[in-house]
Amino acid sequence: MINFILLISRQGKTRLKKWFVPCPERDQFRTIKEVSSLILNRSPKVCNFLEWRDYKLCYKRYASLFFIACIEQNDNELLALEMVHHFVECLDRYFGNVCELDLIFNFHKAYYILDEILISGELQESSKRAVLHHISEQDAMMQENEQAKRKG
Amino acid sequence: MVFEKSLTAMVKGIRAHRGNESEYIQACITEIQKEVASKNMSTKSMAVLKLAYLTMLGYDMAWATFAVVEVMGTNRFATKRPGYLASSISFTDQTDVGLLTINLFKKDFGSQSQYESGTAINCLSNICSAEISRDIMTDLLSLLSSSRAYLRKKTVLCLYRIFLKDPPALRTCFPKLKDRLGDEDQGVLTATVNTFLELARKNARNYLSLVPQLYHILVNTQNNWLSIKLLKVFQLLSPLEPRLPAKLVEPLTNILNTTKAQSVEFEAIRCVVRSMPEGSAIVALAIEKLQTFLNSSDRNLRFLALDLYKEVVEKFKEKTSLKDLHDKVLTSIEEPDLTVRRVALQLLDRIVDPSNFQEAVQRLLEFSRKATLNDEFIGTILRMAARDRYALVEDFAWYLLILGEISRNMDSSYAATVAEQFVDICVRVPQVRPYAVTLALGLLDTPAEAERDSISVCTPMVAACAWLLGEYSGDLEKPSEAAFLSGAKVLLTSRSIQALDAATQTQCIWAASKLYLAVPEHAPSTVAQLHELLCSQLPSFVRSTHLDVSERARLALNIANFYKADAQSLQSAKGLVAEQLLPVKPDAQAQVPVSVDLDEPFFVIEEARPSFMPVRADPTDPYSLASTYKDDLGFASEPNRAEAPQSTAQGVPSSSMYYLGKSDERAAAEQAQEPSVPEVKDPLAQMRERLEAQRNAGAPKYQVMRDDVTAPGATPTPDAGQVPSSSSTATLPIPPEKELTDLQGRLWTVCHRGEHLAVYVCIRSPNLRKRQIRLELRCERLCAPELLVSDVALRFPSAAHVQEADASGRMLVVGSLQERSSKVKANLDSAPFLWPGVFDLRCELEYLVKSASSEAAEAQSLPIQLRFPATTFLAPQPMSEDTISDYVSSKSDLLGHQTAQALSFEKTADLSSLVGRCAGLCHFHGIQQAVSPQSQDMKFLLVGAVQPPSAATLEGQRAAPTGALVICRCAALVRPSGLELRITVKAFQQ
Repeated sequence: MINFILLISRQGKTRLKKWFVPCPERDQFRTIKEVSSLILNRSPKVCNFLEWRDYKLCYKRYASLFFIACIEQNDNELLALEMVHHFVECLDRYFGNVCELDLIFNFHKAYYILDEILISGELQESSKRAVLHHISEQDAMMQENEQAKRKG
Repeated sequence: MVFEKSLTAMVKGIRAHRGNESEYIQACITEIQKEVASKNMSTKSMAVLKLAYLTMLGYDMAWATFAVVEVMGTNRFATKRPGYLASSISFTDQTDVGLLTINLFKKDFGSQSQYESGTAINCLSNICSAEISRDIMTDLLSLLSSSRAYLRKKTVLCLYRIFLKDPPALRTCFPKLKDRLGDEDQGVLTATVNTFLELARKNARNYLSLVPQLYHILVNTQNNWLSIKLLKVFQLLSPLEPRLPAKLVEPLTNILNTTKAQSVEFEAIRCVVRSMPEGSAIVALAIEKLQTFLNSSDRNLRFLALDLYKEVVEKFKEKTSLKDLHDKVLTSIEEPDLTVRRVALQLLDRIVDPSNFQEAVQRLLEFSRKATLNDEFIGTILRMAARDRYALVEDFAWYLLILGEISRNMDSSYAATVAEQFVDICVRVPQVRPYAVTLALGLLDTPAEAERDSISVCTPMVAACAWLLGEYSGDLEKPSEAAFLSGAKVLLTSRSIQALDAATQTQCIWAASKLYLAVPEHAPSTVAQLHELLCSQLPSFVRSTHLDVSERARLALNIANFYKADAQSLQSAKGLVAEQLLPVKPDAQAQVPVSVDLDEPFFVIEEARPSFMPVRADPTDPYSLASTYKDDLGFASEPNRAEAPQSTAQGVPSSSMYYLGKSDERAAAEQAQEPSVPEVKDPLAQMRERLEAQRNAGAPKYQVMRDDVTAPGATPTPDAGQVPSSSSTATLPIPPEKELTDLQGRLWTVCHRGEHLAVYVCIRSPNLRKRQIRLELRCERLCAPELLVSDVALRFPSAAHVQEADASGRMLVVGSLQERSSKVKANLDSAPFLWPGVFDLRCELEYLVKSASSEAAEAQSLPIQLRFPATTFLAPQPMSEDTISDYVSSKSDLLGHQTAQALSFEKTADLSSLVGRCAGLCHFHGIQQAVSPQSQDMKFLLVGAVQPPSAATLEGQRAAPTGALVICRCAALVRPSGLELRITVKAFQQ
């Protein structure tokens, strides 16, 4: 099970944070600080896993962003990396060649996509097509709502 | 809405105000506060979304929770969605408005749109509490059987979070949740397995009933995610259900052989390692696959493989090809990646054995020199070496040198451990002391580099070296005058000593005084110099600000003033420090009973066990040994003790072919005494040369005192591996293995004496673990010199499998037999020897005889018999007196056979050690029984177990009953004429 997902820029700015286990805000920030300094200081030539407290951090760098998943000791690390990659691919298809700016200006969209991929720290949909289909349907619903409001 | 700002505008604004973002954000928050109060729901919704963004930057939004709930409750999806997003980002199960959401959830779960319900479920998984769960359970149950797979899937996953908050809910949901294992939608199925996996992690036993269904899914699925989750579940379940591993072999083999996904493959390997029994074919397959992971170019895979190998090594000790792994681990240690390095070091710790320990340590030491963070390497070295009381260390001199090198590192956090080991080894390994003292002196007496009058080793090591110098000064190389002087000088005069902490200074002072006290014995000519040194240097220590340094210095000074520079009077002071220190168990002091009578000695003074008596034999006629081997037990030679050592001393021992000492001892001594090069040299380099020389001269055999001294009367701790014995009995002191092997090496018997030659055999103790027994064989020529005897071979019966033998049997002599042949070893498989009785192994002796006159050699073949004593294949059975009497009373059917024998001896000093020796040689476990304190009689019980049955049998061998014991009762009665020993042997009926 994934405990939390973090997107951290190379400068150490949080671009997305999602905790799947309840965690007070203060602890979240402390964790982000600790984890990002750990990961940003790692050389690119080392492996993508590290032990942290009682958990394992699996991370991968895509362009300027680090995608970090915190999983439990007995989870499969490779699966976590695959899952992160799955998320990145969905973002990429949705935004079309996604970059950090897309995630800054559409942070809520990134969350919506994540919500379609993961729920309570588990993968719910492994098909990219299905994820994008659900997202576009919901986007359409919001559009309809807007239009209905304007007409009304 | 003029002041309304979109999210994009705000983000742009924040980016534009680099430097004073917080000011701008404060302005935005003020705006948002107004917007939140607005009646317009889309304004409110946008405000909440903007707040959610600011939360990510670290701004608090707890003040807006009520607004968030309001937005969640709007009718339109466009305004509702940001509300749910904000609540799942910022609410927790503790948020107090949580209860307000219950009705929202109820409403949205019943929505026409699956996305409205889906968003609500997503949010619920984040903020659920026990109260919320209780109220919406019925709605969730109906969602579980919703017609939409999208909702079923989300609900199943969300349920696990709810169970965590509200455990009783699990009972309600379980039947419906279990039904989902039959769901036709792959996504829902995966989700359900996922939820059961998480549940099983909490308590696997409850889910054993699901095994048939899960197994069915595993066999039929092609889905990688699902397979991994199932493999995880089975890892948890298979330890609980003994039938499961056998069932899993087929699907696991299938996955291992067919899957293309590395994550699945890896999980399958992990599953095999964790759940399969050792030795099965699938384990071999999995380890083979793991090997390819280990050699992969992907460093992630290498790391995972290394990590899993830790488990493999732990669980399957024999199965792994360690050599390969060892190299791999050593290269991984060099990796810059700390995670990999740590795992590799942990692994290295588990896979070293004495054969590769030295190499591993050298490598670690090299890395530690290169790396900046080197403590990890050093810690690993120390941990490996100390394991099982230095079981891995074969060459202690070498290891001490390593410790010396490590101690050069001043700021290692292991400095104290290094010093501790340094001392500990010297206490436990007497043979290494001469080397150690010289090394210690070298470490302290570092040539002053560029006038820097400081010591180049860490402080704890200074204390350790000082202690060694004082304690083992007698082991300093002879002539030791110079060493004594320089030792005392470096301990007292070096200015840097006075800069060290008080405890170390005290150690140095006392070590110097011990040197002084030992001088008359080892370096009499330097008494005056040492005395003067003490008298001149100690006063500066007396003035020390540290009280205990001052006190100790005063004491030392007084001793020096009392005995003066007079060797005669100093001789009498030897007793002050005469007693040797032994390795003491760390908690021994705590075990001393509190109510101590101070007049009574703490330790009962034990009589020193007489060291092994040299055999009274003429070294020029080694064969007489064969007939006098009984003497090895010391029965006969006891009265002649005085003359015995002389006789061996007179002959030149190394000329005997049975001489067991090292032939090159003298050469070694000469080499070791080579005059040291006067030029200034790194002491470690010098010591390294010495080590080389020592090795070339044949490395000394080290014996380690692995037992600790415990307080008498203390209850033996269970980890001591001792059999709890009833209070009145004592385990018989069985001599150490080395002594027994020495004894055995002298027990030669004649197994053939014929026309041309004689054959002698020596039977060693069987190796119980390898189930082998080693024989040593020799031939001697008996015929006239004109006959040529050659190519002597011994052919064993085929059932006695001999390792070294080829088609023609074991060759004893290749080519012609001169006077006597050298020793030839033969390792027999001991499994077929089952019967605990005297056994004659029928062999054929073959050789060629040729007379000088005739051309053709004549082949000879004679039947001979190798006689194995009855006790050869017994195994010592550690038992207490109580368990033996239990055995005697309950297994009387196995003790039908009884023989008795009476022997009488002249009185001997230490009967119990004699019996101990006998017991050791005959593979018995011995205990001494208590007798009334008035009588001098003694009683012993010896127990040995027969060989376990095996498939292979030899002619004339039968299997003994399983678990049968041979019990031997010895009673020694003291009579005026001498000692009468009555031996009764009880065994099973033949």
